[in-house]
Amino acid sequence: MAHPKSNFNCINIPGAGPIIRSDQGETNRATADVINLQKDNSEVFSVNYNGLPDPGGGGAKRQIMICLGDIVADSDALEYYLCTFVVAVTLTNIYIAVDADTEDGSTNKQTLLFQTDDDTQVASYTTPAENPGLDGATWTTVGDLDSSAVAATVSLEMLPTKVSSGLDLSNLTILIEYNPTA
Amino acid sequence: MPGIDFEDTHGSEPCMLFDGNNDRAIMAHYLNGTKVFELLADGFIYTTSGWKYRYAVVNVGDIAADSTLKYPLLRCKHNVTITNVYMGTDTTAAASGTNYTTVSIYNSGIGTGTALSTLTNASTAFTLKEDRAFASLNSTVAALAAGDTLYMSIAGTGDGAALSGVTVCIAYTIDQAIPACSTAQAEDNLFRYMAGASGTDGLVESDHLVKDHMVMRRKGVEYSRININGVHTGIAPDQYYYHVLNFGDITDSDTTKKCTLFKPHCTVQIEHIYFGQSGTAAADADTNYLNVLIRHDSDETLVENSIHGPYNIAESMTAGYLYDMGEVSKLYGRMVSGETLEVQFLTPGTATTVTDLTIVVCYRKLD
Repeated sequence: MAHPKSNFNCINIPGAGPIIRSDQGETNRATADVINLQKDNSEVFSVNYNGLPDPGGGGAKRQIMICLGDIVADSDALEYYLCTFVVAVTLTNIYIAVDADTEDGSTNKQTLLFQTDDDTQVASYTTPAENPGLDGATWTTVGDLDSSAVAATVSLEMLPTKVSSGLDLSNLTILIEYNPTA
Repeated sequence: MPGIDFEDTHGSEPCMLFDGNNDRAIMAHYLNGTKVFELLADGFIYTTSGWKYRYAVVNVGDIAADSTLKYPLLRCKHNVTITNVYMGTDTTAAASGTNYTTVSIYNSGIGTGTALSTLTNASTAFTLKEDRAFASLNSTVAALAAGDTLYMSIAGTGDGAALSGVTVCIAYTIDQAIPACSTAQAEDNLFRYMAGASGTDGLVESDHLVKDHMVMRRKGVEYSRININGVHTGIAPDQYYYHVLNFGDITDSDTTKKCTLFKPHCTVQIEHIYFGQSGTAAADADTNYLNVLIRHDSDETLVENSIHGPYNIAESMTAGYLYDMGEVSKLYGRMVSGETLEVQFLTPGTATTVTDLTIVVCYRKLD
């Protein structure tokens, strides 16, 4: 089978080991990329010296979804564990959603504090003064993150606090987006 | 200078073509003598970096002191290895050597003879919002085969201990049997670049305006591609991603709910939906069953199935196991960023309560 227009044709090359092998790090090129692909001189895909890929498009971003169930209006005594990252990551966004419209949120609200296990605030979100406070089946961002770098073995937590009488949140679901960084 | 460099080369075919009739890898990278990266023949990425870890986080909610339920945690399309498991609660459960709860994790392919690991509050409390790691994971149980379910079982000693707002975080890696030839024959290469050359450029570089960078075929069949925008797509096991959500108990009155299931950040193809519950379910009712529908926010249905019936159509469920809901619509299974996926419910009669309805979304990224 011929593929005459590819520049680097490796078709049924005899042998058993990796077609390309690199050995790096002992002297020079210690931190150079292994693969660096560009579009019009801008990097779109790379693999760094540690073997960490950084693909284009949506390839680098990961998501974690957690359905915490019903949060009653006064849940101030509860403090939720969310997840633990085995290796370092960078958080990029957090979204929330409920499965049914809440009550009127003009006065009664719910504040959700996201933090790491050393009490570093990642984000604090208060439901808006609207009726309903949150629409069902609608994803809402918690806004810009106050802290995004999460080290290895660090966990994320969520602490709800009522404003006025608080707001019932039915089947609160949390979506965490992050990029692996190590 | 790069070792291999393609700059604005002519033609429209992908710049680099790899098409083998054996399993030899495309590229391996060694850092200080240790392999840290390998691009396999089907486009699978082997790496020792944090890229390899995936997470499934399941909030199973409140667990009664005398619970006998079995909570589904994870099912995958391909073999995976469980590397870490953590658990936390939203309220402290004090340590008690008399009345305590033991949480055990099992692999349906192995059975209940051996647990992955266990945690108890016999001597150490479950402190609110703090994670506790399941220690010394059993390596045999940690190997979760395609189609098998990882699930959690509860056992009380004495009066047991109620646990509130339990969340389980599972870290796992996607398995790919690295072809024996590429590991055993690490030095049988077409190109080998030894440490010593100076420079900071990438070892393999490609810079174009239009043409794709790389395509990986096996015996003429395309398995993977890196396009001009650096998007890596294909059908290798690591191209599949998973979310697991426990929606709690679903009752007859929940037919007005729209449970949020997924919000993709890029264009994706939903490949499979698995579902299960913490109790058993016989398919023994022709009217009093729950119809579970996976739908777009625009109300197109991707797939539907039923629990507790109807006769001869629904599948009986074992507590803690996850089942394939059936073929997902290819048309509606393609979702772009901004669209959302929901779970909705119908019942022709009075639905029997489904305990801890758990749903797994399996998808591939397309851009």
